[in-house]
Amino acid sequence: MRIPESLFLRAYSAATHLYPDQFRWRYHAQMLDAVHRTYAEHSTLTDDLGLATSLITDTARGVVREHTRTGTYTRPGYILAFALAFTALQLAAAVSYQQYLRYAIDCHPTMMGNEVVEETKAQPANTVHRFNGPRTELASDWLKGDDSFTVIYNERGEPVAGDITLHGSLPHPPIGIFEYLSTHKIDRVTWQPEPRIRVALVGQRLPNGGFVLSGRSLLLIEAQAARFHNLMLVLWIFMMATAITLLTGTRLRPQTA
Amino acid sequence: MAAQTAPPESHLPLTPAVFAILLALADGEKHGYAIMQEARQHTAMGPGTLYGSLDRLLLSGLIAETGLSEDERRRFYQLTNLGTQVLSAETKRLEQSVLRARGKGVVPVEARA
Repeated sequence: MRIPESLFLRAYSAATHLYPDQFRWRYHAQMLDAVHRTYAEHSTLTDDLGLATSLITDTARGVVREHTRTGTYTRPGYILAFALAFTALQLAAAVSYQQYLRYAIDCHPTMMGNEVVEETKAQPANTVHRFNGPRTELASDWLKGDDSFTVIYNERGEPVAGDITLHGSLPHPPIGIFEYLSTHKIDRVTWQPEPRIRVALVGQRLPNGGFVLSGRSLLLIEAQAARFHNLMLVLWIFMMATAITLLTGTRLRPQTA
Repeated sequence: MAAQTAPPESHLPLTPAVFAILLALADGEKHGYAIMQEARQHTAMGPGTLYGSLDRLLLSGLIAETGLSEDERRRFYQLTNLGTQVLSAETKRLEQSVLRARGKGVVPVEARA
């Protein structure tokens, strides 16, 4: 099986529109002829894929080189397209990074929750005892660290045991979490019991009908995300300033015949 | 044209692609695809690189167009006197580099373009 030649030629012909107009008018037919003849030399799908890859690389380099040489990269259309593409890429990077951070911060609480679920299956009584030791206060310097906490709740959503307190008592997250967990295996939410306390919570249902919630402070991660977003903003402002400068320069430049 | 009166050495060093194109034209006129076929023995080259380089070589007077094929899809190119001189000068420069390398005990190994 091979990639049809007509597809190659149509795609390459479309790609030549990326070159400066004058260059394309002059060499379009010859470039297509070169692709047609190169294709004819090949006989396998692997060859075709190799040709496609080399044409993509060659076109990308050639387009940049020719526009740089002729100065046509400063056309308003290209600048706007670049600005849009750059903005879209930045948005994608910001969203992806945030998702990645959220995934990363949920990992440890998820593991702790899994452990409790397994323990409850094997020895239900021991699980509660394990969390009857010393407790850490949530509204403290704990928020600046990256430790996780675990709290076990009964089937009505009342706290039974745990290794953290909020103002001296085991935390009571919104009842909606437990309602959701009644029909779903796992729930991942951001819990903000009061201003400046933001926690990534991972909830799971226990085999005995109760629930386990594990959590981690979002303070560090949110600071990290904010730094990344600030960097993106600086880059975006720099890109926009460059684009506007180029656009203004293009408009002010005297037109030649 | 200023480029044509400039000494051949002012065009050096040549990029591998330009050297391969001039070398391909050393034994007579050729059309674009024939140049590309031969140049690929020395360096990786696609249509964009080839015709971009040919355009620059035409502008700097190192090559000239000699005509079109019957179906007008192919243009033929040949070296100008300046192009021949530049190719000779680059060959000499490369020879000197090779001699210096050999003098330092560098042994050539098989390499694929």
